[in-house]
Amino acid sequence: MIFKKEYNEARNNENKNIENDGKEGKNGRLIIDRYKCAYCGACIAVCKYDANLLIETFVEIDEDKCTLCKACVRTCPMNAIEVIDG
Amino acid sequence: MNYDYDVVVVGAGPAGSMSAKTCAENGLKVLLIEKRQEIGTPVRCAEGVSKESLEQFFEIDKKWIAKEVVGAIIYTPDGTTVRLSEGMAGNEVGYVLERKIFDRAIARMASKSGAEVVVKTTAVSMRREKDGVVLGLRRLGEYYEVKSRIVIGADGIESRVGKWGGIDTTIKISEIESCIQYLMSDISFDPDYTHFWIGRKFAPGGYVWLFPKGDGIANVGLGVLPTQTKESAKVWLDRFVEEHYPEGEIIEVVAGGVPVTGPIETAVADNIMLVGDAARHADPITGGGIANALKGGYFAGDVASKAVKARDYSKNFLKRYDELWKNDFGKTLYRNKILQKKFLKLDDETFNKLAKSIGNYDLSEISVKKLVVELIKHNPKLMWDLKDLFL
Repeated sequence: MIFKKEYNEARNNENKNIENDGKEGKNGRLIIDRYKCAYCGACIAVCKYDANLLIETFVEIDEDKCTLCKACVRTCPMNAIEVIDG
Repeated sequence: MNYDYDVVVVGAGPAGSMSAKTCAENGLKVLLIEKRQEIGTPVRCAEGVSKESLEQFFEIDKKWIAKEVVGAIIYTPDGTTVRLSEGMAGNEVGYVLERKIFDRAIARMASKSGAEVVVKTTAVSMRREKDGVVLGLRRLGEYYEVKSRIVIGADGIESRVGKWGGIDTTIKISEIESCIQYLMSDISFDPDYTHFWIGRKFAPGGYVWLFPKGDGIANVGLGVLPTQTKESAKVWLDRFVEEHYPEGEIIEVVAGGVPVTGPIETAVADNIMLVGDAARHADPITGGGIANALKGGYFAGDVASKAVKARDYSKNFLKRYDELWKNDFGKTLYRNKILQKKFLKLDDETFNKLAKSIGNYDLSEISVKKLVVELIKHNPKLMWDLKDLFL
């Protein structure tokens, strides 16, 4: 393949914008505003911890798996996900 | 093992229905499942597709088409415009679909060809057993299992089939466009063109689109890269609409994530193939996915049929599907991924400059290749290292 190096560079971008890779403890938890959520599934696609699930028209979060990396918070087009205390 | 089906297709968007249709036409026993209660809704898409990519597979039914367009107009941050004719503008220009009707039409074709179709049914688990796959389904709250030789995952951006099958499809936040779109009425624009606004001013890491659905009514939306902005897609779109179409009414809201990973290493595993957004087959530059979804669905259906005939559902056999899509639109995904990264480095002033440098050409008469050659000629510093991709 030509441009193998360029292609690899284009794809080799660390997930550096996520905040917690799960090695640290976490403070708070995620909540989804169901009135804002448009159940598009974008948050599911970026969750590398497999901690959320789109069930027909609502998203469920598995708090045990969630590390609060906030990849989903950053990705949500509707700004429907936030972190709250506790 | 006694199989209930040769192929179960998870997801009844264009990619899934096309896969099911192709398998059924080849005489396979097919189940097509859709988790929503209605096929075709909610739409997650701007609905643009080229004429060619539809005509390749179907006799076009006018009811699918909301509006035909003749080309595209690109606006840079300082208002410079570049006009592209239909043939140049790529896979997303030509028809603006009515996806609610179109998606149902393909699902119906699959059903007419003999596929069994069920809605409000979700795949909730998957395990391999001997030569096949046991898929756990939940339909109206009731759990049951079906056994299949092959599962085709057409389950969209949030695909689980890929994860279950061991195909790593997790997307980094630098590789997803966060998109939102309003169907807007009572706005004025040239209805014979699709319109694109590029630059950080409008949509960091993405672009704004306007796809006409008729006179005065259009899909107005945008995608942004989450790594390029702290504000949500909705904030960006509201800002754009406020500035450009304050008079319009919003009569529908659509959201979605578009994978811009470029071609993944493989879209197959033992007994499994992925198609459409699940296979990350959207174009990294345009975000368009319908054309590749249809082609990929056709390829996957074809390979599934051959696999059943050969009684071989191994990854090794199904790799033929990888070869088909990689040698076809995979090449464009690859090239456009590199080009996308290049574009991400350009600032708004550079977009203005690029647009001005090619502004004097009648772009209906030159090819994409020529366009890029012109860009390289006028902007050697910016574009030189890309020359081998196009020359």
